[in-house]
Amino acid sequence: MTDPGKVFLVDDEPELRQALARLLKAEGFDVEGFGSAPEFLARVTEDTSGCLLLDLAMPGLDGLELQERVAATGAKLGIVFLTGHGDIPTSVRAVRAGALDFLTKPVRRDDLLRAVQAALVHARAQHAAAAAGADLRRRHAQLTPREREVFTHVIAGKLNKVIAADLGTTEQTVKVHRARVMEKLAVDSVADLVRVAQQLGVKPAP
Amino acid sequence: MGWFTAALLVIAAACLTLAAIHVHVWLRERSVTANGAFALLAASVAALAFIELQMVRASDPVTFGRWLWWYHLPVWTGLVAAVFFVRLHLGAGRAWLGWTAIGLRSVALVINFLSSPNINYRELTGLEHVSVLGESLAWGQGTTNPLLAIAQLALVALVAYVADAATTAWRRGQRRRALTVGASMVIFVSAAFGSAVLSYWGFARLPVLASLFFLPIVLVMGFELSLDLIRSVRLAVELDAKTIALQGSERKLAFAAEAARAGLWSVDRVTGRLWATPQALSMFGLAADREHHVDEVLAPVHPDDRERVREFIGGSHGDPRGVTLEYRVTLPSGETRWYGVRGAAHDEPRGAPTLMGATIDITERKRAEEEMARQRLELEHLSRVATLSELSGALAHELNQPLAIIMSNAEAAQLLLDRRDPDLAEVRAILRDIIDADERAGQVIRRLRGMLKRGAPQRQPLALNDIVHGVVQFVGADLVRRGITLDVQLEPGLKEVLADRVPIEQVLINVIGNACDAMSGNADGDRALTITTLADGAEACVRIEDVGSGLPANPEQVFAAFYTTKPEGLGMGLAISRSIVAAHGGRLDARPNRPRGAVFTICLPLAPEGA
Repeated sequence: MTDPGKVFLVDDEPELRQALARLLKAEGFDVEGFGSAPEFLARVTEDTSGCLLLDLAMPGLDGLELQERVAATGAKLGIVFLTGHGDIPTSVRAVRAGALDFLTKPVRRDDLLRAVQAALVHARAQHAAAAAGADLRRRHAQLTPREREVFTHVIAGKLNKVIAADLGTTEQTVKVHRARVMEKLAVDSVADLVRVAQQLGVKPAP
Repeated sequence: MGWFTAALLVIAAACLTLAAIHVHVWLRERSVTANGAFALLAASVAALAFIELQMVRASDPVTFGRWLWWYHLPVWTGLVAAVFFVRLHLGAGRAWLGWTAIGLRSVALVINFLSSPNINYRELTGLEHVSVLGESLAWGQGTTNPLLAIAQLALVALVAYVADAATTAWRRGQRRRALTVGASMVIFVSAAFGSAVLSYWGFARLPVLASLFFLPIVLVMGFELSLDLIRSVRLAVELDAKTIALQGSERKLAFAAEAARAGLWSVDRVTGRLWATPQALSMFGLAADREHHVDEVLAPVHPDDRERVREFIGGSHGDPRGVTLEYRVTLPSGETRWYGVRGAAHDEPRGAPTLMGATIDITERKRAEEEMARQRLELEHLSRVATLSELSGALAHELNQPLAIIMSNAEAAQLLLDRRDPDLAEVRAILRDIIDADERAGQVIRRLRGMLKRGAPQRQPLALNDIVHGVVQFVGADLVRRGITLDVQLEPGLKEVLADRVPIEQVLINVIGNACDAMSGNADGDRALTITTLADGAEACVRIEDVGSGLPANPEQVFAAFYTTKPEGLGMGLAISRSIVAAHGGRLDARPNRPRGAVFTICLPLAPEGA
């Protein structure tokens, strides 16, 4: 991996923060440490991307709330929780808070590495998905109102002549609109069109 | 024989009888010297009567003179006896007056014995006969010796002495004695003196018969002494009654001592002689058939207690309620028993100072006490283990944290060392951090071990702030986990308390744990715990305030055994906590917090200065 990625390390205990930072830095990651969740939230922006390594047992922190606030910023983060006790309530809380993984202290290097890498992959995917979504929305915006109408009918699985009847036009016209939609949205099949519609949140026509 | 002769003989006989009785009393009981003096006086009067009888019946001047020569001896003894009697009976009189009377009469007696025919006459020329009660009585005639004045001056001195003694006794309140003894002697000695002056200095012709005048004196004195006799008889009767009562109370005391299995004893503090009841002797392991010295009691005493027992025996025992001591003895069978002893000193005005006391066997009580103490420790320990198990989550965190630090640091070091050009300064820093973390884990384990150990109590001066600080560290992770915000305010310069660290930590953990439980129903962010240390007179206190569900109407209820608000609680935590604090001489109180919650205060006595 050419770009190992960024790790945000949030732990109230300086000694542990330093030890983890040392280890991650030795592994080649770019590490940034924070003493508390608010400290981190003050730093985070929409462009922030990476792995958030978070100690669950910190004063004044609720995992779920933090997750929501991170999401609200639009940052692309894979969250990994660190916990002192691997009991079930804690794990459930961590997963509910949107954790990709949770690690029990003391954590082995391999486990830490795997979790951090997975989180980074997740973050990148989020990033890529976000980028792809933006492209798709741009393309969708290029459709004419008639083409959008045809789009909703096509993904409903209707035949061209049915669509023509519904819209009060000719089958030929529908065919042209359909080809233009597929072209503008850069898809080759109806199946792809349905997937794109889902991504865009376009509902099929009734 | 005429009436006069008969009268003199009766006087002589009566006086002799009285003399015999009182000599007998005096011989039996030498301390009543007044009776001795009286006996001498009575005997002297008897002798006077006898000699006077010989004088009045003398047939010639030589015989008369010879008897008169002897006459001065009983007069001298009578005078001496009278002086001593007054002194002893009235306890008054100027000594120099008495000695003057005795001295003058002694000089007269010597002169008399050196004179011929006697001190009364320079020479006797003949006899004169006087008729008294139909009897013809002879009396000497001749030249009066002027030295006779010395003998008669002695009588004047005697009268003065008696009058002075009687006045003093009268003033002291001994009026009857002063009147009877003083008045009779003054009157009758004066009368005798008067008759002698009249007769010997030629103012009147009459025989001088002193016994007639001395008889009333003897009778009055006899009466006085008989009153003493009556008093002593009455005293004897009272004494008998008291002796019987005393025997009765002694029997009761012996019965009570027997019932209480108490050994009674007393020690003469001068000689060390020991008196003890059979029960006490058997407890001390001493034979009943001989006398013992108090030091023999020390032999079976446990060596560790011997010095204290020695101090008890030799101590001043200033407290009239007595001093108590508990000590161990080793019986011949090798068995060790506990004795409790209470002793008090008695310094009576008469007799040697004594130490009296009672000893009882308190082994059963001691064993029960020891068993109770053992059970209390056991309970403390169990409660501690229970507290620890409640804290196990927090403890795991406390241990995990350093372990995590060590693990990550070590792995980082490994990676660094695998590099071609390792950063050794960084590796050194890592190793230093590993050591610190290890030390931290070690502390947690030591503290845990301390809490789990069932050790003998070890009181030592401890800084309360340190204890609080340690406990806060210990439970800190648990507080975080439970979403509790903690505010600790330690008073600087707080003096040390005398305490056993582990149980006091246990109390703090317990009270803090309860405070946290009480706030578990509060909303997030509304769980504030405040721990404050403060000085309060001779005590140092820790105050633990919460804003939780609070106390029952009667806050004392929370200290009762089996009181709990938790479904899985045993309800022993605060009861045990209070007993631990009480065993330290301190107190643990609860009161409501404002506007809600509870305040628990633990106060411990300060360690003595310089301890």
